[in-house]
Parts: sequence; structure tokens; C-alpha cells
Amino acid sequence: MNEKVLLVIAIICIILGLPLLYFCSQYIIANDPRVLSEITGVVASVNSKEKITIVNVIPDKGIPVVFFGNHSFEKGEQIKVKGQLKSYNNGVEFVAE
Amino acid sequence: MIVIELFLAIVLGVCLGIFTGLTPGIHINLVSVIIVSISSLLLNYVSAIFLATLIVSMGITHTFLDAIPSIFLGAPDTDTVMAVLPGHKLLLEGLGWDAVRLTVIGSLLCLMPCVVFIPFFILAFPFLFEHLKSYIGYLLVVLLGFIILKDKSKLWAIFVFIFSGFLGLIVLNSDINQPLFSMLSGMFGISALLLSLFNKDSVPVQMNDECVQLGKLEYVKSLAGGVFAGSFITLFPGIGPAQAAALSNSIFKVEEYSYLVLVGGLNTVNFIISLVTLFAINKARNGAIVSMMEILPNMSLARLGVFSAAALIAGGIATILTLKIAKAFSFMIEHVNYKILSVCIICFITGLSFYFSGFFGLLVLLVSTAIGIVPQVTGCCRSNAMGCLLLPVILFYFL
Repeated sequence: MNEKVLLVIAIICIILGLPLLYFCSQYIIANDPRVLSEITGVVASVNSKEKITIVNVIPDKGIPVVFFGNHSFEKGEQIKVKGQLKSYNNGVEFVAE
Repeated sequence: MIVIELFLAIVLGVCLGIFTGLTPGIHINLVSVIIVSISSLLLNYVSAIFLATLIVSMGITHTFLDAIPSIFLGAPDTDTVMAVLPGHKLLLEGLGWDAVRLTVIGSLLCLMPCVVFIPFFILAFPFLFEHLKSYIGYLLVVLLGFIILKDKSKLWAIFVFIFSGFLGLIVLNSDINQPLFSMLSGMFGISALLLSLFNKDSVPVQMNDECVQLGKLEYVKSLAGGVFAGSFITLFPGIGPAQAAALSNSIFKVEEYSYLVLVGGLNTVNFIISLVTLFAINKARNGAIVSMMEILPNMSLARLGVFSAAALIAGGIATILTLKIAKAFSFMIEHVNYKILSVCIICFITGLSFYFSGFFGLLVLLVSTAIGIVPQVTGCCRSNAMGCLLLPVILFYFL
């Protein structure tokens, strides 16, 4: 495979990418959520350990909310938490302030 | 208009990818962490999707460009370490540019099918991950046995594997900064450069021609190996591109130079697949993607589409740039004294190692260089030194 063929394939790649970028970008809101600093939702599950409480919140159920210290939450309770996203064990968690 | 904003992000990402790809020791993970750490400032001017697209474009470009320092300077990172050996061999035959061309073929030709197969990966990954994760340790032991048994000098192969494995265990369990840089640079970079100094190697006139011609079957095998290794093997925790390349090669059995195609493809696929795993199983398999998650935590289908498009565009641009930059490198390298260049590179890597990891980094560099010299002197396969990554992973699965 010579250089010219590679360059042609590279240009095809760019040409295919541009309409795909245009199409998919139409489904993205321009003002994307900025750095997550607050989570609002309904408590889906609560896991309390010695010094931390981990809460899964709907609709953000992919990101566990971590509270240091003992906190009591009821399943189905509406909560609003301020904090910061942190990476942990190849994933992320939202650490409450 | 958001599409223009995204295109600008891709162009900026490609520029950053050129910088990270060409500079030994500067990994995309490092730059991604810097971007995230100043994101609160940057987000006043650009959107989160802009920064995420920038990181993706940078990562894809990096997988094309990082072959250049690996082949011309013998300074690999974890992704290209397995390409150093055939690449350096071609460089000493005056075919450094051709070696880069082969990795670019792999990267570009694996990129397109990988993007096309994304819907399939989304469906397959959750099932595969759940059902296969408990067998990976056994698979690695079989791979290890296979690699050692096929070696001509089995005793030396075991020696190199065990010593590099213990070094890997010590280094990866220490709190050293940038642990892999010193270890891999010593084992695969400095050891080869030192020996080439004593062997009075010199870089011959570089021919920027397509001298290495692979058969169609070799292309198919190496591209299939790249897509397979980059997608299914790196799906599992603890298995990086280097182990995936070794495993894939034992399955597809590609020839020495086709291996460059496989490694090039694997790295590019591996980066895209990290985006897919984030969407399908909510797990990031790449440091840059973990950083990206801090800016843009939720991966939607539309975002995955944007990142795939960014990967295609950045990959296309990176192909053109890599071939041009590699020509400039091959022109430069034949006009400098190879001995002086080797000494400069050794000093540069040593300096970076000290900068990143202090005196412990220098000690790791020294020991890993000594281990890296053993296979070259005894004639056993240098891939046994990948024990530095394989042994910790095997123990991770069994302990």
C-alpha cells in the first residue's frame, strides 16, 4: 500500500467524518453541562459503611454520591447535593461537600 | 454554531497530539490531567463537549505520531513498546520512514472498521465482560507459557521474565511518579541504544520509499489482529496494549514487519474502544478518558457519535501529518552523527527519568537497562521483558 493510496484513504476518512460530526452535533446542546458541581435527584439506594455513605441517585445513577461521615437517607427521598467529581478506581464519584 | 466549535476542538486536539506524540515522556494522560485541572477556567470560554472532543482528537493523533520517536529515537511508551524492535531494525536498514508507514497503515485501516463496528461493540461488550473476566488470568498464563516455550533460549527467557516481572512488581507498587517511563525506556530504549553504541551501528542513508511489501493475507491478519486486540483484549482491566499485542500475535501469528501494522492498529482501536466501554459498561480503559469523564461524566449516543466523527477526522489529518513528519525525521537522522545522537537521547531520557521520578527513577532506569541488555546478548526474545507488565497483571488476577 503506497503513500498515495494512504493519503486518499485519509482524505476519505476526513470526508466521512465531517457529515457524521455535523449530524451528531445536532443532538448535542451547545451549552453542555459544565463541570458537575451539583446533583439533584431521587435516592435509589443507600450503602452506609463505617465512615462513608454512598448514595445512588436517579437520574444520575451512573455516578455514586459519596458522603464522608454518617448520613441518613430514605429511598425515594428527593435530594440536592453540592460537591465535586473525583476519579476513583477507573471510574468517577461525586464527593459531597 | 456548535459544529464549527467542535471542528476547532479537533484541530487543536491534533496540534496537542503532535506535541505529545513526538515528545518522549509526554503522555496524553499528563496533558489530559492538565486540561482537567484548568477546566474551571477554560469552561468560561468553551463548552465541556469542546474540551472532551479536544482530548479525543489529541488521543487519536497521539496513537499515529508516537511511532516516530519509538522508531527513530528508540524511546517508546507503553503503547508502542512492542514496535521498537522491528522498527529499529528497519531504521538500521535505512527504512525508518517505511516502518512508520506500516504503523500508519495499521492505525488508519483499523480506525475505519472500528468506527463502523461500534454498534456491534456496544451490544457485545456487556455480555463479554461479564462472562469472560474470570478467565483472563488463565489466558495470560497460557500466553506466557507459549511465549517462553517457543523461545530458542528458554532458560534465559525465564530469567528475563522473572527479573523483569519482579522489577515491574516493585515499580508498580511504589509511589513513584510516571513509573512506566523509566522502566520501559531502560528495558527497550536505552539498552538497545547502548549496545548500538558498542556495536558501532550507524544510521544508513534513509530511503523514503515503500520497500517493505506485505501480502494481502499479511495485511488481513495484522489488521484483524489489531482490531481484535484493541477491542476485545483491552476490554479487561490490567491488560494494556503491549500485553494485547503479544496475545494477539500468538493468535494471528503475523510476520515481523506486519507486527508494526498490528501494533499501530491496536493503539488506535484501543483508544476508540475506551469511549465505547465508557458508554456500554460504564468503565474507562484509558487515563485520558478517565480525565475526560471529569469534564463530561455522562456518555450519550450523540456524544459517542461526535467523538467517533472526531476520531475519523483527526485520524485522517494525523495520517497525512505523520507521513510528512516521519520524512523530516528520516532526513534529519541521516545528517546527524548517530553515536552523538544516541548519547544525547540516553542523556535526555535519563534527565526526564530524574525529572519525573527522582533518584528512584534513575535506579529503575539502571536496573531495567541491565535487564534489557540480557536478551540482546544471549539471543532470547526481548518480548520476555514484558514480564514487567505481565507478571503484575497475572498476580492481580490470581491473588
